[in-house]
Amino acid sequence: MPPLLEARNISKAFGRFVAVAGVDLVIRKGERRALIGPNGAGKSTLLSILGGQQAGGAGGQVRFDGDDVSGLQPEDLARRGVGRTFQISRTFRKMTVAENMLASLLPRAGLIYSLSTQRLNILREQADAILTEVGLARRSGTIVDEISHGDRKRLEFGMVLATRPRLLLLDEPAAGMGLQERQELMAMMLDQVTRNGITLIFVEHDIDIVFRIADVITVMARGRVFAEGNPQEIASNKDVQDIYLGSGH
Amino acid sequence: MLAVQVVNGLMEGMMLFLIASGLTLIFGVSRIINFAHGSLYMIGAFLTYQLVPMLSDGTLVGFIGAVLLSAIAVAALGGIFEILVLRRIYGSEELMQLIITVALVLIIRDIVKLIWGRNDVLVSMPAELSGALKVADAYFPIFQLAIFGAGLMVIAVMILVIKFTRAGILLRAATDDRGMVALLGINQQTIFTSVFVAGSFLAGLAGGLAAPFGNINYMLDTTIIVGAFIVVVIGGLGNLYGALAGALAVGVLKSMGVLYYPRLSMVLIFLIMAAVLVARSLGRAGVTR
Repeated sequence: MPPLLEARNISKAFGRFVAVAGVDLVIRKGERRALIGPNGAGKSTLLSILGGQQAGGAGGQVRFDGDDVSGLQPEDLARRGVGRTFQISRTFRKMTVAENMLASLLPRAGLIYSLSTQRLNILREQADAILTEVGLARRSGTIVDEISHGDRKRLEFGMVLATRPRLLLLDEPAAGMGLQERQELMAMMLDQVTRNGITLIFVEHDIDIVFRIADVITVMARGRVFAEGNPQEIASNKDVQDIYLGSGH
Repeated sequence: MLAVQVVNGLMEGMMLFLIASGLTLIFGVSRIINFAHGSLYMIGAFLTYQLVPMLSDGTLVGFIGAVLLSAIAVAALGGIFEILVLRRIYGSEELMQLIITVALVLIIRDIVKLIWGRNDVLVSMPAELSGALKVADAYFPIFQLAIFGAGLMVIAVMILVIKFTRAGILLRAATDDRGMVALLGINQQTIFTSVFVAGSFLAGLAGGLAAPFGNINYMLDTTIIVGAFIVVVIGGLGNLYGALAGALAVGVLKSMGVLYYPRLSMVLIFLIMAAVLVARSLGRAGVTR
């Protein structure tokens, strides 16, 4: 079976600083891939390239589901089924939680200029259903600026889910959250990813989460792939321990 | 006299709102400060001048038809501007945007001079809207009241569209975070063009509605854009409701200023804008004791 995502020789420099240097990444359908590494390793930049945020500004080739998608804009990639969340969650902060979800459902629903309230009501029901799934039904009418950091993370995830992604790029989905909240969020995300058959690439610093979720772990350092393997192989790799924890450990 | 001035002010405020609302909508989504927005208003006024005699001079039906056709034509023109010119400068630095949109102002002005000449032209007021309505001892011009009513209708439609339609939801989403809109798979370009067409329609509508109210000439673009920018600055760039409050306040204050301090009426408006800017910057910085 051909891979869902195949990235070859991906490179990106910001001035003289080389953030990503010749990275290869091959992701199977249904795989859950973790990208780990110290700060500045190039993980988030790599996700940005795969998600189209660096469209045209990165070297190398990206193929998604067999098609060359190198240099495509985020909206083109989103339409093909690549979804993304961010370290600092991105939502429409002045709108209500339900309106955020509705906005996420609109692109797939089409007929943006239609005034049909019947279709809009169907979309509202779909929005409510997703909000229930991500645990935000009670926040439906609240302005996003007024909800907690954790709820915003849930909303962002739900919004991406509404676009029906085949590949989901999650950048530190549980960053800045307490232990229990983090575990609940990750359990919910994992459940949705599994139920919807979504392939996952995620960046995460919490090693417990990484080892619990990932099928394959890619370790990055200084813009390059340092090691790759299943959790057991990575856990027993002495070099990985050194580079991830620092040589002083 | 005072009440009449207030009505005059509200009417002028409503006109300012119609033009400022387009300006602020366009800025909210595309982050372009469009100096050529006043030119679209001017074209709306000239087209109405051109169309009224062709449809039915001096009648309400002819006037409404001319205004709507003018607004639609200006909207189409706005769409062409967006596709041919402005699309190329999204993301450019502000100076480039300023130069391009000011260049558009100059080009449009020269074209208007070529077509309609340098002299003032007038649009006759519809017979049904001329005269005044007597309430107590005061006489309120029917035309001003009608324009204010038309403005209220436009506002109601705008609120309904923005609050309760799919396009409105996407418009608010794009104003909030246009990058996020792209992440959801929506073509930003479609939104930019749509918003520019809608904003241009509002400018053309305002120009057409206000056409019988005064002289129309090739300098109307800069005359109106200054007031519109003041309103947008007072209301907050990209804030539609702020623009409404700002427009009505500016309209009434200007009107009252003419009554009590004729020499200071325009200065008063700039002073209010300066006060709003100072208050806003103090609010942002926090006042230390």
